[in-house]
Amino acid sequence: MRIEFLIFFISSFGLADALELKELDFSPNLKVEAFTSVNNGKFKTPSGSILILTREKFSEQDAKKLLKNKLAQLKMLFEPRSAPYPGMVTTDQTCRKTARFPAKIEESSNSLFWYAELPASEDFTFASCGSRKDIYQSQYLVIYCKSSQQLYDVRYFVPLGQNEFILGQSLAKCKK
Amino acid sequence: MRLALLITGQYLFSTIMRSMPSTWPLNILQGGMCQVFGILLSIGRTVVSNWVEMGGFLFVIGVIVSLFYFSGMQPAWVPASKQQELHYVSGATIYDKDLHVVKRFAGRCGVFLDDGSFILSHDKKQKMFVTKYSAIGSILWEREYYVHHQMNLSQDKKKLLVISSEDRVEDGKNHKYDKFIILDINTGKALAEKSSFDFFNSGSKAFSEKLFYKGESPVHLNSFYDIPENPTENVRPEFNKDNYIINDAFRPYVILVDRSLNIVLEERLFEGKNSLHDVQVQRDGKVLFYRGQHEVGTGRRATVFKYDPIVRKSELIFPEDLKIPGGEAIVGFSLWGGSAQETAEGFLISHNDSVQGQMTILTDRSGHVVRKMLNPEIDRKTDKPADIQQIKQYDLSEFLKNNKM
Repeated sequence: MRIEFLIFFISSFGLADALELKELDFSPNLKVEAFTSVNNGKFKTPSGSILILTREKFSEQDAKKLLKNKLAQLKMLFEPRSAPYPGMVTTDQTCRKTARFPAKIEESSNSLFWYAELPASEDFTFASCGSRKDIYQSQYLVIYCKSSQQLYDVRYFVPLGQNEFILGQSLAKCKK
Repeated sequence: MRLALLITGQYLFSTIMRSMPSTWPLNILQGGMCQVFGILLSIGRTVVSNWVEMGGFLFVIGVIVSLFYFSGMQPAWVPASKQQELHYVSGATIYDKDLHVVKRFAGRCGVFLDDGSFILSHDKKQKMFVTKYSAIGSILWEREYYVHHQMNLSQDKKKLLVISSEDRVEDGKNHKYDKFIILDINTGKALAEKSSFDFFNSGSKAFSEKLFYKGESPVHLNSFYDIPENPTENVRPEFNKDNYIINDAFRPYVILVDRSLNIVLEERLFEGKNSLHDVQVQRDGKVLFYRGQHEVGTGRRATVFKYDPIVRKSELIFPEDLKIPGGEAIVGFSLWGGSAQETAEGFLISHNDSVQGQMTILTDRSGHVVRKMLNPEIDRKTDKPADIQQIKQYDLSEFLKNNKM
């Protein structure tokens, strides 16, 4: 029964999630030690930055496809798209938002990844089209670690106006 | 025995705590409550000496837990207010109850499933596809279909109802005939499909004449739903829940088709040539439809009616008159057809105001406008809020909980 208590204790307080952080080398700019667990996969700093992390196990081939699909989906949100009514009155509709995307998926000896820098609303929505005010600058990183076969989806949100955010630099690398 | 009871109790309690919704200040609370309960049970085990005392002790614990639950925090098995769970979907965008964007997906139309997976109709390399994605965005299946107007989920959430089209050459000219397709949600396999070309020369009253739309399409089909269980089917068996209802903009008929998509009933809804959109059978057995009217004096206006198939009469739902509170005139209608839905609060209507642009309107039960929202997406030609073809209310709480995109 004591063991059961211990399991309840660990899983309830999110320590299992915190262990996931040790499988990635996060950029020193991120100051991982400042984050505390909010709930499953969600972490925050005292200054209001949020990091949301999920992971899934994939083969390298499937991970490549998924990285490609996710990037294409995200890019399309910021591009003009045809309305759901093709025909004579067809028009394009769009959001007036900008985002910075990588040109392609990058590959190293131990990882595959891409990242994007984009504004996000208070509920962490990308491309809300001005429906809600964007209060975060965010970096969205999708990275696959070949050795552990884990695909990480990392979303890092920094309140606008804070200097914690370093542009043009990926948040994390896979450990060698 | 006592030990077994304690272990069972603790498992039960931890299971209950884990079933609580993610909106709780969860982990600390769950962990804390588990520990408190365990400590109380441990104390109980040492202080009680017989089963009667043990029963009394557990009763006290039960009261404490009950007080905790009824102190304003809501466990998962008590349904939260429907208002909190409902979302709106227009195209491939999900809005919250305040009509703020919650999530956008890159597609023309989207269908969102409880397990977090989703289906989009979208363009790729000059072609159109229907693609099902897993909760994390892997492609589960993909079919090449040209989709227009609507892509709806069946009531049992097992089938996808798609309006597509095919080209037919007649008299040396290419004509577009709309087509209905039913896909299996799990596999993407077509369970049934029917071209509107087959409706002509089939003895149909509605499809006795080809009404050319913009000179290129002899039909203009714009809605496709399955029929829910409803009281009308007891009187008129064509309204059976295994049938489907389809619609053509310029044929103001209720058109019911069977599982093989063959016509089983056609009934004219109104006289005149005003356009008809989004015709659906409701759980009360009535048929709700959106009508784009062109009237002398009032010009274009959107109206929503309910048709009673038993007495064969329509009742005007919206607008009750031509003015809304504040004196603003309701003018215009959606150039893309528009849609209507009866909700718990009233009616949800997509509408194109000729001055302000495209918006969503929420009305109360009597059809009075209580809220309006302009489409946040911009039409690149006009630089005004883009048209909304269809907006519908769904409970997407499970989808949003499970989707990882």
